[in-house]
Amino acid sequence: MSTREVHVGTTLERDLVLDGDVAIVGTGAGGAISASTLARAGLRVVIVEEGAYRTPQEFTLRELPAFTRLYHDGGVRPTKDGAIAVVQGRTVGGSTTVNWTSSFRTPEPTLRYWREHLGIEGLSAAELAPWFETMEHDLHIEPWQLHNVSNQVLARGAAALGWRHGEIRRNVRGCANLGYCGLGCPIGAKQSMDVTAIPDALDHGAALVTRVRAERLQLRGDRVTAIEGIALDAPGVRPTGRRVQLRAPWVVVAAAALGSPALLLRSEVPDPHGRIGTRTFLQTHNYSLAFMPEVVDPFSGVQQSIYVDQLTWRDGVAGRAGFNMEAAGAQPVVSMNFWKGIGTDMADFARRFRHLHTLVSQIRDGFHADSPGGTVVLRDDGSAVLDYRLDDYFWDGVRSSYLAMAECQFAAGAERVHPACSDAQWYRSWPEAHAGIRALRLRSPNVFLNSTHPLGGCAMGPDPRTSVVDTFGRHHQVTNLAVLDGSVLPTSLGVNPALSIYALTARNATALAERITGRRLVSRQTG
Amino acid sequence: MESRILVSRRGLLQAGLAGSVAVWIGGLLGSAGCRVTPVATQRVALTPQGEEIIRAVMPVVLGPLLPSGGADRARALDAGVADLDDYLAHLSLPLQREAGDVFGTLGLLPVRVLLLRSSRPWREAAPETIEAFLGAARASRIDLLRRMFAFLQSMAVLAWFDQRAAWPAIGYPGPPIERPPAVGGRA
Repeated sequence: MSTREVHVGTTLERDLVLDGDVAIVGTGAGGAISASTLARAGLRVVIVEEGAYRTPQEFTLRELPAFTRLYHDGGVRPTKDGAIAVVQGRTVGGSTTVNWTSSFRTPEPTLRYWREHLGIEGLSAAELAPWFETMEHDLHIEPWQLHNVSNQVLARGAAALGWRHGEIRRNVRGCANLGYCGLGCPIGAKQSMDVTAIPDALDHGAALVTRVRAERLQLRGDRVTAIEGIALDAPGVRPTGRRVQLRAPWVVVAAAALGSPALLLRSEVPDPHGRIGTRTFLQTHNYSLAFMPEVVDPFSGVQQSIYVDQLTWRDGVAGRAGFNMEAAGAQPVVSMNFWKGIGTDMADFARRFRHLHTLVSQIRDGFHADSPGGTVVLRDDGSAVLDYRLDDYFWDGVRSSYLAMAECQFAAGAERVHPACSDAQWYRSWPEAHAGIRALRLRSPNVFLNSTHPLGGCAMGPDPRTSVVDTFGRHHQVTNLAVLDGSVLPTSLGVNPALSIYALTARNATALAERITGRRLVSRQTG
Repeated sequence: MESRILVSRRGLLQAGLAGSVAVWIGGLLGSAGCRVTPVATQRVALTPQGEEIIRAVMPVVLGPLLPSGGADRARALDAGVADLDDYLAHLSLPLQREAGDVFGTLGLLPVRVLLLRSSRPWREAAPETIEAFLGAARASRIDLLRRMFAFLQSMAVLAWFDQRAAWPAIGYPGPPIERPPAVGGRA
């Protein structure tokens, strides 16, 4: 291994200019796979990342330091009206460094919807299969059978109800079943981008500069000429005054949902049809809390290993809001924050922590005229905020998923169930929960909502009037610009998105590498 | 992953309007009642007003979870405030400003009179008074008050449950691997 070229923005003593064949913004699922693919094709890749580069040895398994150091806005980046906390990684590896490793191929109903309703060709399950296989191989995505109690309870409930469920595949190698994935894997078992594709790109001659925020793309005519970045202080909050410029004939934007559209908006990239930032999706998560008779120890063991997709397509792909269900055990801060108690009520809840069982529903958005997603807008200082309206279509999904989660928890033997909504109450039986949730007032912020799956905002599609990039991520108007990340997804997915972004990016980055080099590449030339 | 800690933009606009009116009224009424005692420790992001409110709200939200004894209780509050300061210091500047605005608004005399039904500063407010305010705010028809409750309650939860002292009572054994605080320099 040759010396890896990594610059740290915080400690730059003078402005920095990096030249390359391709310049990339971001090191998450999109940016890292792009970097590795392009570097392996023999191209000089230069990468800018807003977060810091941490090693697994630096992960302390403590919640607050992880939220502040590894997440954007402490893990609670709020939508414009404050109703939903968007959870995004901000570290080398992006959200892959802090996700729970759940790896799903894009569901076929989603791909069919893209083809039939959005005119997207070339992305059928069969056409994507080789890309999924490549990424599954490279990232050790394999079945996982060691289910903690949270997941056993979910499987038990689903089985009792006859609901379709299965085991989640995970991108891990030598996983010790700790259950602290969201705080950064302390043993480097998670095959996240910070320990896989980014080191791979660096070993193939890429250069990385961390703690630098890509502020804008410099444009001349229909081409990007450079990425302009500002170096940030150690917390990643204030500019140090140093500037960083990445110059290359090709530019890849992979700053994720919110980040990528915001960069394009700040740069005043041509947008004749006003599409940039629109159709940003969250597949918003809501939660159901239960106390089980048995000890759950929800802080321990792999947190997500069983999925239930019985209701994901409950009314057809384009019908009422569907949702999947997964377990959502976690350490104390996250778990206790679901409960909006005061005084003895807070204490009574907290003291039963070892028996706490938490389910999460992820509500699909973007498949219905009444589910247009949110819009990324810029604050006065140029930072991004997502304007996401909560409408009747959405609230129907919330109520239906509260019902389903409670039914599942009671079917698994729960003593009592309480939706993570401070206007609800404890229900002692499924009939009681059914009546209570049907009558429950749903309002913000009393309904606890967040999203670890922000997607879209630079939608792909064949028609420039309705999309920002084509189905290979190439910008419709700017000839040397590609967007290769989750922001190109034209709807949410109905599953956790990481593997979809890996595979689509591998496909599109390979196409870009072929276009630049004029050579035909085999897969993404993994070795 | 935790909760939305922030109040809405529209809410803040309301708060801002209420705030500017309140500043004006506060000025007329004189500053004796709303002067904040300087805090010895230098904070990065948490304002003195914010610290005073957090120190008042934490015991109410956490109730019997917080140590009742003098030194342990003081340590828990000190550590919680330091952790929250560190948390806020890593938020983007617009969010830091919003948090400061919320604390600032809550600290204004007319707002205190309205919400706590008392002209006393937060540090002198009776726990029962704060508890009554929090309970009413949680169930309020007014969006802004519900958001203020969610914000304050979340801050108290954040400030406590990552502390080792919090774990025995809830049966959390702590992380399976002990690491020195390489990331961030906190114990």
